[in-house]
Amino acid sequence: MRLRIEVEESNVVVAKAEREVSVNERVSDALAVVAAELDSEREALLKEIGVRDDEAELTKFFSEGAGKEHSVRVRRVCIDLHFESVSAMRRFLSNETWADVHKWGCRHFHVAVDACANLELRDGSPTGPALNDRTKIGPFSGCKTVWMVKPGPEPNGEEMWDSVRI
Amino acid sequence: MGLSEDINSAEFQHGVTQGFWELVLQERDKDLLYVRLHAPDERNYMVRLQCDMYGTQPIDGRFVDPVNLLCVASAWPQGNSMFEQWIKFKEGNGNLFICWDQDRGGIAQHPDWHARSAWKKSSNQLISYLDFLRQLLWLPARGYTHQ
Repeated sequence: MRLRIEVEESNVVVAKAEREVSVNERVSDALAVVAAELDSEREALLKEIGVRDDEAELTKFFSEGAGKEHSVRVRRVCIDLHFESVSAMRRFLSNETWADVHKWGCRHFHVAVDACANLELRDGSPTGPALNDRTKIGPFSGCKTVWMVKPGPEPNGEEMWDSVRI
Repeated sequence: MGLSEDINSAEFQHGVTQGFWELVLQERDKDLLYVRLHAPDERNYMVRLQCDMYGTQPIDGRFVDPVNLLCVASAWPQGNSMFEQWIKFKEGNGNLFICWDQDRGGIAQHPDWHARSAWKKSSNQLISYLDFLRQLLWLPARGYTHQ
């Protein structure tokens, strides 16, 4: 099957990847190459293609489509992720969830798994509204500023809103 | 800001679109709101918010049964001892209240908190309250027990 993926940002196609995916190769490896070309995550691309991340299922999907072309256009958005005094820009597919941003942020900023679970994403500023890990990022133009923060301790009756360093 | 403005605020709508909460019922004559809170374990909790004297007095929040709207222990989220600092979910001994300095029930238990007027610190009292509950349910360190 010939797989063609176009990446769109702000209604403009900014990247393309095309590859003949043969069932004679490990399909997940082939998709990883495509994902790397597009600077995306393989898992995120699979969601867009509409196939589960399972080697047997991938092989079935691509063997059934042998000789055909499968075209997907995906939307990508820019996130400017801040954590403490550092920040990093990264593009995510709009169908990815905030959990994907959260996980990437923890990996990128070397946050331990346990600590990561108690950080939350906030829109625009450290005290902006919270973003739900379960919700899709969704489309927007420009680069969205997101803060990854640890809410302060809250013994009952104490102030909880200050974000603190971990 | 009044209660209606805060319900119609971008912050309240943001919580709805993010899947944290939704307004189920509003009894305008009593300034009473019923808000469904979504927890990370796919459970929902209905909280009744008594908002009379909004702005000048704290909100009185109680979890209620989503069907009969009665405040019963089974309607309350449960958790470990950390969680129980704030959410008094065990029946008896005057429990079933939210022990926080922005909650009327909590202040009734700790009258010295009233002088703090903590509920006046936020520009949106309703969001401050809902975001507090959201964090209790969603941050593992707060100790909510997934069912």
